[in-house]
Amino acid sequence: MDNQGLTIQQIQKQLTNKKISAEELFRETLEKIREQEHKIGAFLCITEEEVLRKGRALDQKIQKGASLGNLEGALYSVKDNIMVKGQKCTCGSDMLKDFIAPYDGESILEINKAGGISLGKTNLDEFAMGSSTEHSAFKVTRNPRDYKLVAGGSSGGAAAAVAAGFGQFSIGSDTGGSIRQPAAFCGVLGIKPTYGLVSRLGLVSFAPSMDQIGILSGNVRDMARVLEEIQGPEFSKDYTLIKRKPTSYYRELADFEEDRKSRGEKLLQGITIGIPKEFFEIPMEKDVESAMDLTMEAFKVQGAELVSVSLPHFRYSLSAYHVLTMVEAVSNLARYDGIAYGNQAPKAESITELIEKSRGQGFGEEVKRRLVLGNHILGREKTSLMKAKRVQELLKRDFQKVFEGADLIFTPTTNTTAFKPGKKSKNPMDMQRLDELTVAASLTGLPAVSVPCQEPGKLPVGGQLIANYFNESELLQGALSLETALVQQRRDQKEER
Amino acid sequence: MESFERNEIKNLCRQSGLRLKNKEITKLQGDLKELSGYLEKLEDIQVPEVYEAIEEGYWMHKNKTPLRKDRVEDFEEKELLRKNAPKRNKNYITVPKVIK
Repeated sequence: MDNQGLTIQQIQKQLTNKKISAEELFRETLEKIREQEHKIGAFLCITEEEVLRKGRALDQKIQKGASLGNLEGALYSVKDNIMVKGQKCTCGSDMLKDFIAPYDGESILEINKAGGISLGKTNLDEFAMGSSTEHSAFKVTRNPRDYKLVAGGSSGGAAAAVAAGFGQFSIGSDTGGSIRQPAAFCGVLGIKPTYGLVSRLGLVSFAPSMDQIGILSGNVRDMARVLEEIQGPEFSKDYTLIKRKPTSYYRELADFEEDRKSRGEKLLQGITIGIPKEFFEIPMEKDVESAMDLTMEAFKVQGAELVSVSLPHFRYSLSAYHVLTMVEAVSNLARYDGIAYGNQAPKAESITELIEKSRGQGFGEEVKRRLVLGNHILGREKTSLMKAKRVQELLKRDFQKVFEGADLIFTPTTNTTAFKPGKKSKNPMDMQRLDELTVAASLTGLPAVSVPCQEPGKLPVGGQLIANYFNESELLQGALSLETALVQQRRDQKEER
Repeated sequence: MESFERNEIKNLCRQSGLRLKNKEITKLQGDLKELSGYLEKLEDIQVPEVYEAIEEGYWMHKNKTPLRKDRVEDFEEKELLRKNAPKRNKNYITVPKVIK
């Protein structure tokens, strides 16, 4: 029986109807990993024995007739910059290659409480700095859709794991597009929730004013289930905005569908989608352009009204993003001195030499480049830092104006499809331009999701939906409608042929 | 586009707490020249427009993140923390001598 590609709800049905045991199901996934992982390189560690032990425990629970938690039966993976107690947390860096996490990240605790079982830790660009997972100290992650290509980054391992069917979802982090961009390259969904919705406790900081934990999954329904579990409030350390009642995203998604069906309405009837002209002025690959045209057509078929909108300060967003994140990285990575933890240089005469050598040897090229540039920005007389902070404010204003007349905003997630390793990494500017379309939602803290929308038979392309603060329900409804519309569109095209 | 002297890069490395090899410094000279070019784009922003935005105070949302209480909390897994130290002596982390 092929159990790959099932939603969590379908898996739970199979398990409770005793069509398959959890142990059998998990063995299938582990077997798949054994067959394909050497070609992909999604994982930095796999906890096989623990998965099987937990699978057997789940089978016993089902035998006893106990009810299942929201994520029971689901396997997931964790980006290796998020702490899982007792496991290595390397951040893809030689600096932390032997670091053992002393506690669990808040989102990991919540997922485990709901019954999710971790398969292991996934590869990433060092300290989440990069857009192709080529900057991992350990290996390059390949794209499961085409092994010759990169998986994107920095959550490249997470996106590749979901695309290859290694579990139902993956937990990643997104500072400037690190979930959405690899999701687009690998043909899966990736959400960066509103900044402050999900606790960052246990996420190793890169630029904490923008770092956000999010989800990569194969379908919108699973994404809603997981988001429901990891959303705040989280009272222990105040890493979320606590003045907020939790939302039942999964229930609301089901109600939305049911409601539209019962009224005989199209899924996006009455919904206005803003198309920001500045995003579409950036040159795009032909495949991305045609996927965008088809997607906008699909929106219209589902009843949405498309309106052209403007975000005038978008053109400064990439510069502002890099100024702010590099400066934050300078202070957040200052803690890696090779004394209390992390790489320690073997021969040093003084404490200064120890710190400089430990950092020089422990950090990779991209991290060092950003730290040096961050210090350069901090030392400039005509400082760019205040201007970048101001761009952030102006951009928030631009978005709020757009949301006065639009429910959602639609853009491409990236202007290219996945590329071969080495194509962009030689020139740091080329690599940083890959974030051009995702950083605006990061700077403003708005929730955004990348939805696969490529034409059949072509390389994956992602379409990005952005909603207003804490409107994740609307965002997921938009993503589900797009998912449904594109399936319908492909079916119609097939019939026409 | 700004250009960077070797000594300037060495200074920035010192500020960054990094000891780099000569070839790394050469590479950084080129990279930084290119990267600083697009940071200059921010200079185009008109200052009055900028002040207006700050004065209006466009906050992300009305729910501000509350400040947590500044309190000391006991961490139960101290041994797990100590295990990560590269050099230790019983319950202490060993550091190189600062004063000779």
